[in-house]
Amino acid sequence: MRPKEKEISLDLVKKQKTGVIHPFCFLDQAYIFDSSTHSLFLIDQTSLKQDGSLNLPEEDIQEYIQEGYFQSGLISAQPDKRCFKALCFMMTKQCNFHCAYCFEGPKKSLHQVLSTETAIEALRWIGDLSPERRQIEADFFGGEPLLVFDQVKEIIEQSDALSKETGKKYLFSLTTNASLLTPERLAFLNHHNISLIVSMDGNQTTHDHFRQYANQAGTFSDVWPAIQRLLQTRDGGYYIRGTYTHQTLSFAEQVMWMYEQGIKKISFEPVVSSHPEIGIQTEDLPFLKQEYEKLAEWTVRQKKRDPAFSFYHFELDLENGVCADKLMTSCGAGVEYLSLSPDGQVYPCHQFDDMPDYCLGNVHEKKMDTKKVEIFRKVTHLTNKTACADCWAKYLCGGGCIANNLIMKGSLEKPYAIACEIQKMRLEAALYVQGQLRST
Amino acid sequence: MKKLTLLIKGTITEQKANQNCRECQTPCKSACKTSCTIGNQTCDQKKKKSRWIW
Repeated sequence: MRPKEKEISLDLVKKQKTGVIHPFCFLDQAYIFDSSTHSLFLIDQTSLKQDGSLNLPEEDIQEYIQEGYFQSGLISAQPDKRCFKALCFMMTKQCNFHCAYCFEGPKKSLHQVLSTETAIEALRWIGDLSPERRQIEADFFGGEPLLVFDQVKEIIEQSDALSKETGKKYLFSLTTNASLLTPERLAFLNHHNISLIVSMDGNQTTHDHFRQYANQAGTFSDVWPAIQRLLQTRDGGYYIRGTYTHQTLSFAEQVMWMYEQGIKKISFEPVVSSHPEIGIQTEDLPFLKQEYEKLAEWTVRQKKRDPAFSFYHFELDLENGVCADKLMTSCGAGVEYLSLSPDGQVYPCHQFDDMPDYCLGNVHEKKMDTKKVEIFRKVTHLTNKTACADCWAKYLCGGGCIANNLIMKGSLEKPYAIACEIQKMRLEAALYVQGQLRST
Repeated sequence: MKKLTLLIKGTITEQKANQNCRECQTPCKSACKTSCTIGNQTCDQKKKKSRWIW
């Protein structure tokens, strides 16, 4: 090896070790992801050796280095200017389903309902705390928010008047199990442009495995007619969101089944559970990798025929993504996002609800515990995530979900390794999909 | 034949010019809820206008 070649080769090894570049093979293709610019390169398969090291001609690499690719340190730490943007309305903690994998678990104040006054007060307060922001988003969540549809309706209607008063735009979504989504309710939600996240796990056998009533009867037969109505009345503004578990790992075939039924917007995610028979285990990872490979290959074919199809986690936006400062941050818990409980208490996100140690304030008192908010500002920023420092995926993942860290590792800061592995295999699949859609 | 071909040109560097307008969505508010990623987020200034959140 000539001296110059040796120098470049060593430099690439260093960049690979520090996560600046990520060479990987996915199905029959080899790629390099340049995390410093969010660019994707196709490489000749012979250039990626078995041990993961690269063997590329000097002139090919030099050309791109001169154009600014493969450089470390492009994203630098800027002052953190994040502000509150969104609320999760914990409308009620009651649910008509009794799904064994639900992260909500038993809650206090089960019979309280979030009042319209409290919700409107919170929208106004968040707007006051973030005067520079034009729009505030809120998700009706629970429990099952359609159990208290009258309140949901009232909040949506009253937000129009609030919007006129504050000049802010309020955008709503609703997360539901769909069993109570009557034609009249759907018509109201359609009329008011309320985006929907509908929880559903796939065909009847898979769905009914966990999504059951308290008497263990399956819920599919009550959910499916509502989803069919939804598909007949809108072509966007929804995601059917499935959960896969240790017992129901074959999510790729469920996505394909959903698409065959006419569902075009699909999201599937790993369960959050410390129960060994429900939560994803290390031994499940090779199977999950195959599932993402299968789904990625199928997604490329479908998207070429039907661009309206979307598998949420493959929709990486490398060309129109958020700015560099935002890429330094992970979930918005406690900094951009707050969960509002019926008693007016605010928590960093819906997964922290009812955890007194993490209560950040109260909407009625208009008080925010700034010390606690600072803790969340710190743990959701990449500059403080030492475990992520050399990871190639950090600017795509943002450092993961801190609620998962707490549930699975007992600490906001400790990354949950299984989630990291799933995240990385899912991101490689997403990069493959995006690369394939552009290469042909 | 070149062994290295650029497929997708990321735009991180260009985005520095108009960074931090703060109008983009927070990942927790995405259609995902428990394993969201920052890579799925779109810059609000480049987002297609829609009556829906996503």
